[in-house]
Amino acid sequence: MRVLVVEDDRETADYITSSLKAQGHVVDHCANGRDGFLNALDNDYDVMVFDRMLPELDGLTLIRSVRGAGIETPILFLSAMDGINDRVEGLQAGSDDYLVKPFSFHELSARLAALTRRPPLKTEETVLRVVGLEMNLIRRTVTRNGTLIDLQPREFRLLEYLMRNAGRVLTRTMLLEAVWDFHFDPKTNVVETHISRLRNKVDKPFEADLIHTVRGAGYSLHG
Amino acid sequence: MAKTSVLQRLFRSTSVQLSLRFALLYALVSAVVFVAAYKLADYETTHWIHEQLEADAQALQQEFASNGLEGLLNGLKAYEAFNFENHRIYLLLDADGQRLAGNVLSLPLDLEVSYADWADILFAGPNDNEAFGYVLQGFDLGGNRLILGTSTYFLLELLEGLSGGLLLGFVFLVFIGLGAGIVVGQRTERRVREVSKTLQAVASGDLTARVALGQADSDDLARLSAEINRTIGQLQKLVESQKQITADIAHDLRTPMQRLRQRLEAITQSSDLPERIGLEIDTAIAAVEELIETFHALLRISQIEAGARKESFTAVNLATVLARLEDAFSAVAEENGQTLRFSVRPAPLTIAGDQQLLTQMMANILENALRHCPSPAHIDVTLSAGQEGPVFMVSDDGPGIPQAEREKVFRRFYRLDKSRTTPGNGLGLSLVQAIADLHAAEVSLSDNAPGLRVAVLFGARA
Repeated sequence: MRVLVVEDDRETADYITSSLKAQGHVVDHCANGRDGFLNALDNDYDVMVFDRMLPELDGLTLIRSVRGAGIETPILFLSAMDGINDRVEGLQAGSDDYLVKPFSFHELSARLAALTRRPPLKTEETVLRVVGLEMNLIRRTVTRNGTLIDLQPREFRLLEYLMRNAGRVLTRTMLLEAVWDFHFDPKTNVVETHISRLRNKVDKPFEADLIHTVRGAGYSLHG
Repeated sequence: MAKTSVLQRLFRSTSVQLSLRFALLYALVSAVVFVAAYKLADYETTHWIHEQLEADAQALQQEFASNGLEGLLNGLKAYEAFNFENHRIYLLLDADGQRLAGNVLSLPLDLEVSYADWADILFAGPNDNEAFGYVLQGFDLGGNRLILGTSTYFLLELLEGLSGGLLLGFVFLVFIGLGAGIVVGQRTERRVREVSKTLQAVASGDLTARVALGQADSDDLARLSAEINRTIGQLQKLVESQKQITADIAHDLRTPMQRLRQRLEAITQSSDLPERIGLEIDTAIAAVEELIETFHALLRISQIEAGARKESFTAVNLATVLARLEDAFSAVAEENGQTLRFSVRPAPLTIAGDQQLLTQMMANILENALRHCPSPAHIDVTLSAGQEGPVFMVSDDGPGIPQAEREKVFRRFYRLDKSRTTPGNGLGLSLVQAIADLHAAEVSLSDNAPGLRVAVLFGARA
C-alpha cells in the first residue's frame, strides 16, 4: 500500500519509513505540515500518518485542511502522551485512529492495516466467512464446518471483530478499544482470558486453529 | 447537593437575619415604650382632670362667697350649660346630705373616693356613655358638699390615639426594616455567592476564575475579594510553572524513549539474531514499556488534576459503564477462582463526566480487588443511589488494608509491603483519586470485616 508519513522527528520518521518499506509498502515522508498537505493533495495514498506537533502547519490543522480539501483517505494521528485531550480533538478534526507516542511499530503497523481494510460503506454484510467458520450477523449464530458454536454476547463481539479483520494482526490495545471501549491498559489479563475462552469453543473441538498468537504483537484470525 | 429555594437562602443570609433580629428588638422596645407612655398618659391626664375640677370648684366657690347659695345654683346652671353628653357630672348636697342641685341623683360613694363606674351612678336624665368611668372630686362649700366629676372619655380617646400611633409606627418600621434588610441582604448575598462560586471554580481546577469587583465597592467584602483574587493569582502562577516543568520533562523524555524502543525493536527484526539475545531484547522492551506506562500514568494524573478534561464532560450512565466492566472482568474472576457479583439498584445513575476516565477509575478499583484477593475470594460490585448521588462500591473479603495505611495508599508510588512483589507501579489509586476529584466524588476506604470496601460517592463534594 502507499503511505504518507508526516513526522518531524528524523529518527522516528526514518524508523517508521524503513520498517514500512521492509513490509513492502511504498512510503513518502514529509518533515513539516505544509509539505504534508501538498503531498496529500497531489498523490493518491491508501493511508496517512500525521504527527500532532509539526512545524509550519500543526497536525490538527493538517487533518482539517486535508479533510477540507475533500480527501477521504484514512488518517492515523500520532500524539504525544502529555495531551490527553488529543484523541478526542484528533477524531473531531477528522482522523480515523489515534496512537500515543511512544508506540511500538507492531501497534502502528496493525492499526494502519486495519484502517486500509475499511470498505467504503458498501452494502452491509450479513454473513462473515473465514475458511469453515461462519457468522450470521442477523441471527447472531456461529457455525464451524456446520457445527453450531454457542457463544456469549461478549465472545460473539470479540469473534466478530477478529473475523472482520481476518488475516490482519490485532493488538491487545485494538481489541480492548473495539470490543470493550477500554482506552486504558487493564492490569488483569482481560484480553488473554477472553481469547483463551474463545479458542476453547472455536478452535479446540476442531482440527486446525484459526486464532493465532503473533509474538510481541497480538492476535490474528486466519486459516 | 440539596436544592434550597431563593427564600430559604435569603433568610439564611447574615444581613436578613440581622434585620429580623432588629425588627424583634424594635417590637420589644415598642412594647416597653407603649406601656410607659400609657402609664404616663394615664397619670398625667388624671392629674390634669383633677386640676380642671379644682379650677371649676374654685370658680363656683367664688360665686358662693359673693352671691350665696343663689349665686352657686346659678353658677351650676351655667356649668350645666357647658356640659356635653354628661361628660361632666355635678352634685350639690346640703349639710344633711339632701340633694340641692345636680345632673345626677346620687353617687354611690362617700367623698373620699375619686372614681366611679358609669353603672354605679344614678343619672338625673338619660345617659348612654356606658363605656366610661368618672373621675370625681368633692369640695366643702360652707357646710354644703359639692361633687364634681369628669368622664374618662378624653383619657380613653387619648390613650386610643396613642396606641394607634405607636402600632402604626411599629408596623411601618418593621416593614421598612425588613424590606431594607432583604434588599441589603440580597446584595451582600449576591456578592458572597460570587466569592464562593469563584472559589468553587478554583477548587475544581479553573485557576483563571476571579471574583468580579464592582468599582464602587470599597467595603470589607471588596477588600476580602481583592485579597482572594491576589491569592488565586499567586496559585495560578505556581501551578502554571509546575505544569510547564511537567510538560518540559514529558517533551524531553518522550523522544528518547521512543528512540530507545525503536532501536530495540529494530534489533528484533533482524533475522539472524541468536535466541538468547532475542529474549534479552524482549525483556528490555518489556522494561521500556513499563517505564513508558509509569510515565504515562504520572502525566495522566497531573493532567486530570489540572482539570484538562472538564470541557469534554457528557452525560454518563454509570450502569452502562458497570455493564461493560462485568462483560470484561467476570471471565477474569472465574479464571482466578474468585466469585464476582454485580448488582445495580434502580436509581438515577447518570452523572456529568468523562466516560473514558470513569470507566478507567471503576475498572482500576475492581482490578485492585481482583489482583489482591487470593481465591476463593468474594467480590461484590454495587451501584446504588446515595444521599448526594450515585455510589459505586467494591467490597471484597481479601486481605484488606490496615487502618493506618488507608490514607497513604492514595499517595503516588506508595505500595503496601506485601504487594511489592506483585506487578504495578503504585499509581493506580492516585489515578482513581484524581479522576474522583475531577468528578467531585469522594473515595473512601473502609473495613469490610474481613477485607476492603472501596466506595466512590458521586456528588459528595459538589
